[in-house]
Amino acid sequence: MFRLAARRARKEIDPALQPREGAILSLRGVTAKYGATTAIRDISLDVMPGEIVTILGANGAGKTTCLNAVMGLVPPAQGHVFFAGEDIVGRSPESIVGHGIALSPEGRRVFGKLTVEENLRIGAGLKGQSKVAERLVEVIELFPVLERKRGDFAGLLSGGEQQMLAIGRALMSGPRLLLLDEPSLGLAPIVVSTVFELIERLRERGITIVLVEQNVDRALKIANRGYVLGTGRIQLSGDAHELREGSAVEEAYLGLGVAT
Amino acid sequence: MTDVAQQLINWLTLGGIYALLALGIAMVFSILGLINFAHGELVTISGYSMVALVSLGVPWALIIPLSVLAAMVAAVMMERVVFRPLRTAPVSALLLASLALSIVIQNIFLLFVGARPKAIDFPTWTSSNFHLGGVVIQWMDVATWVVTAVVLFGVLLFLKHSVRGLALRAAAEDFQTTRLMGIRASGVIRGAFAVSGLLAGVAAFFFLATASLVGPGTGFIPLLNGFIAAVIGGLGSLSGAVLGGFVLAGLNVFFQLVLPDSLLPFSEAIVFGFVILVLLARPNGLMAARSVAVERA
Repeated sequence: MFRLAARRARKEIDPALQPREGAILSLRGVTAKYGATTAIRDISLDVMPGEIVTILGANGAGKTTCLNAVMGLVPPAQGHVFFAGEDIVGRSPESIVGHGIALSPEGRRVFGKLTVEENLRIGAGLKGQSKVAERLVEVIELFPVLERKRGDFAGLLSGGEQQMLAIGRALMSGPRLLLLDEPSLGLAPIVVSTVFELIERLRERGITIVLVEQNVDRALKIANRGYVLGTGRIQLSGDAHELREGSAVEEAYLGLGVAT
Repeated sequence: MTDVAQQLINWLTLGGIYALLALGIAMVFSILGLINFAHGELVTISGYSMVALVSLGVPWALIIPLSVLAAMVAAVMMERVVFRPLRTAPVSALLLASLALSIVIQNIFLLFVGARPKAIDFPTWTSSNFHLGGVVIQWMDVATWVVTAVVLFGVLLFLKHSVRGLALRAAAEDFQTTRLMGIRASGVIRGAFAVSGLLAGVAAFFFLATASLVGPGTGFIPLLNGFIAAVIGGLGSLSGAVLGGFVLAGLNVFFQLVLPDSLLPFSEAIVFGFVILVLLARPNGLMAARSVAVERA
């Protein structure tokens, strides 16, 4: 009885370690390391359902590590990751995917020796196979370009097509939260526009998105809110509209001596 | 002419056995980047389980599937007991562990069963033959061809069309991304070992039937030939492993045929010398797989 009261009291005292009410994803004081190198330090951020939240920052700022910490690929050394209110730190990437988070990794990482359709099928995992047919239809509807290439090896697709395949593959697990790591990387400007339009359409479909980008302007244009990372810490956060209008983002980058 | 036909028969039989062994080794390598030096011991375990089952009076119709099952169980146990605890260790540690495992298993048999090879009482049909236009064909040869073809084709179909096979191919290409599809790493690795055990168990029956003997060191020859065949094909390439098996068997049979009697004792050295030449010309094997090695979490 006494212990219960004490625990409740501690919860009240330390709101810093609580997820935000209603948030689909909350990071609280997350620190992650690769060996002895600290990649991100004391990161706290929130993502509300139906939002596009973008994480910006220069190369090596820790953007990808944030996503990898959420997925359990780089287990946080400290801090908490709450998904729909539940702490998922310590779970394996496989079980986190099962919970409803999917990551489209940096550099696309499509299976080049598998066909487009096989890439999509495997995206549903072993347990999602009963829903494969239904989801294939949905994904192909979103990415009609994949229909014609269904039987082609993914390694033969263009960069833009591979990116769409990587996003489509992530959607095959039916995620509530989609993490996109630099989807515009290495794509021609016109293809970048297509990819960003698609990301907006995914939000319309009720999928919450965390978008890691180097393309600051494009990302802020479609995002609801943004966080700017520098040397592993959050330097700036706010409404995407405000971040675009002001010069704070530029200053945050410049303040770190990194050119945009 | 009949001589050539006879050698063709030998080639197909030996090639089938080597292909089964090489595919098993390549399967595990493609997923873990590990050359399992204890793969030969799966053949040994299969052999001793045949000896045990024969002495219990079990009919061969049951012994064959049970001995294959023994190799599969042993392969899965190897993974669970030895390789899984080392999953985050460097590949060289796994390699050494597999070598150690091979020695430990050999010594267990040495200690508990004895150094003298045990005779396996194969059914009589395995040594019967028939004549076809002057060529003597062993029924065992026919069985080897049919079963090898069925098993290789079955594994191919499994890899090509089943979801688990798809997961294995995906994991062979990019292990970490496969985990991001919600596919459990341990499940995929266990699957690769189970298939490799199945292949070793099937190969064991045909390999052991030639000498009808099994001893603690029986696994060495199958390991050596399976490993070299997999290297010829390009380690990590599954179709390459099958091809490598037939190429290695072809070299064996060819040199047996053309070498003068005085050089025959050195035929293995000559075959492996030729393999070195092949690898000098194509360092990554005939069907070079991408530079493998799993990214380990």
